[in-house]
Amino acid sequence: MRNPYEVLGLEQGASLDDVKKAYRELARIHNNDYQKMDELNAAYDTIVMNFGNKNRSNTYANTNAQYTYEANTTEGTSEFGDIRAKLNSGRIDDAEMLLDGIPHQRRNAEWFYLKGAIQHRRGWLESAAESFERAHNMDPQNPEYTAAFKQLNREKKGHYRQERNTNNNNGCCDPCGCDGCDICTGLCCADCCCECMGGDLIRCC
Amino acid sequence: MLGYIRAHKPEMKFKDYELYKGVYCTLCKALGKRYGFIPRFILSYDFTFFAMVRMAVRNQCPGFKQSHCSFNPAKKCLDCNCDNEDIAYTADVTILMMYHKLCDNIQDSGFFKRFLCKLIMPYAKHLYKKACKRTGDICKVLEAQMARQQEIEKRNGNLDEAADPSAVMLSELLVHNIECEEKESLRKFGYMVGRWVYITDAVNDCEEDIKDGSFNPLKKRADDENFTEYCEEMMNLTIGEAIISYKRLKIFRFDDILTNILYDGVYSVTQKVLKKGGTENEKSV
Repeated sequence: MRNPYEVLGLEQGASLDDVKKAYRELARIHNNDYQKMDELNAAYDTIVMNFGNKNRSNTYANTNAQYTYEANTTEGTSEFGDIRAKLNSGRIDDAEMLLDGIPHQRRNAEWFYLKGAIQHRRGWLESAAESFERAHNMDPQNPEYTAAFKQLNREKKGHYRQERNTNNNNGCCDPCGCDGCDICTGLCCADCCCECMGGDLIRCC
Repeated sequence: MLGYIRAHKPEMKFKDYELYKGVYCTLCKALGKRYGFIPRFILSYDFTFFAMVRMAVRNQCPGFKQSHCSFNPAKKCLDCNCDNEDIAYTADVTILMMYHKLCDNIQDSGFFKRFLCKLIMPYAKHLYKKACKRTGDICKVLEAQMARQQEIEKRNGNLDEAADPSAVMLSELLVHNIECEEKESLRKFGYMVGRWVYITDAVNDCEEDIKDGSFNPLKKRADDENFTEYCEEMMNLTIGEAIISYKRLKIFRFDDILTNILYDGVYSVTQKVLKKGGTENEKSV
């Protein structure tokens, strides 16, 4: 399966609002193309279902990451692959033990990323944010580390407030999805009905 | 828990306000019924939140009826069915937490306060034993976490370490004997809320603790130039994670109230604690 964020034309780690917006726009364009719609729906579902998952090592992000590793450095996968597998299956203590056993000179960006992921799972947010930042600084090109680093940074800046405000605005501008088109259609219908009964609502038609 | 988790009244609907107060009143009554008159005074809104989360994640309707406040019989309030197990459990939890708070005070506060705490200790111990009998094994978990807290304070642990015991405590209390979907998310949610309360309390007491020389995980950073921003970032980060877990829960009722508390209530408390021109409505409900 393709990376769902790619399907929606977004960057890894885009916010839920962006995902919704992108999905709606694409759905409007492709609504006659069943195959494309299936793909869009699947991508949207995957993101929403996994959204807020404790970290970005959920299945699709992980397969995605492993692809890039195989392409760039073949060594990277074999080094921490088992630790990632343990993390994914929820065996955090085992993963941490393995990770801490790795000597200092071999601790690269991925090591710090995984350390951060473990700390994040445990809820040790300050250390997690530091580890992610370090991973990001060591390898700024890697989308996985950048996404993790950016998400915690967004939360630090009080992202939950913005989310609340946009939610409230949406509720007030667009309560039932009734727009100009709906009003016109409604009037036409009413006119037809009136004409059936011998009256007239809109003189000119 | 010290009254940091509370609703933000200006953003609340009347119907929600009534329900919120109703749960508070019911808790107060349950405390009176189970533990006598005095413990009623220690009830805080944190426990209202606690009881509401437990009721919200399961689809058993508690039901409300019109009733009267026992302190002020002229005042009407809603009364949630008093035999509701969550209310009873929350009343027990209130006693457990009060006892641990008292122990903590004896450990690390000034002479006068310590004297006061010691004075009421026998009574508190009596209540605690009663509550332990009713809640079973959970009080052992709390005791273990309290011991861990002391150990961490002794070796001057960092913020993550210091917040861990309180956070684990709340998460264990929250998921105790509960059957619901997404139990792990509920656990995580409890952890994050507990952590937030701990950090908020640490921020609030920081100046005082520096004066008294008692432990505070934020002390090391207190002289930093951007100390306030650092505190705010830590609080935001924690509540942000709590909200992520909350969204994954299946909530059957009280969603508006819980959302109000998590977004608006928390925000106003954050601002107040950081002394960024406290909001007018600091007295919740």
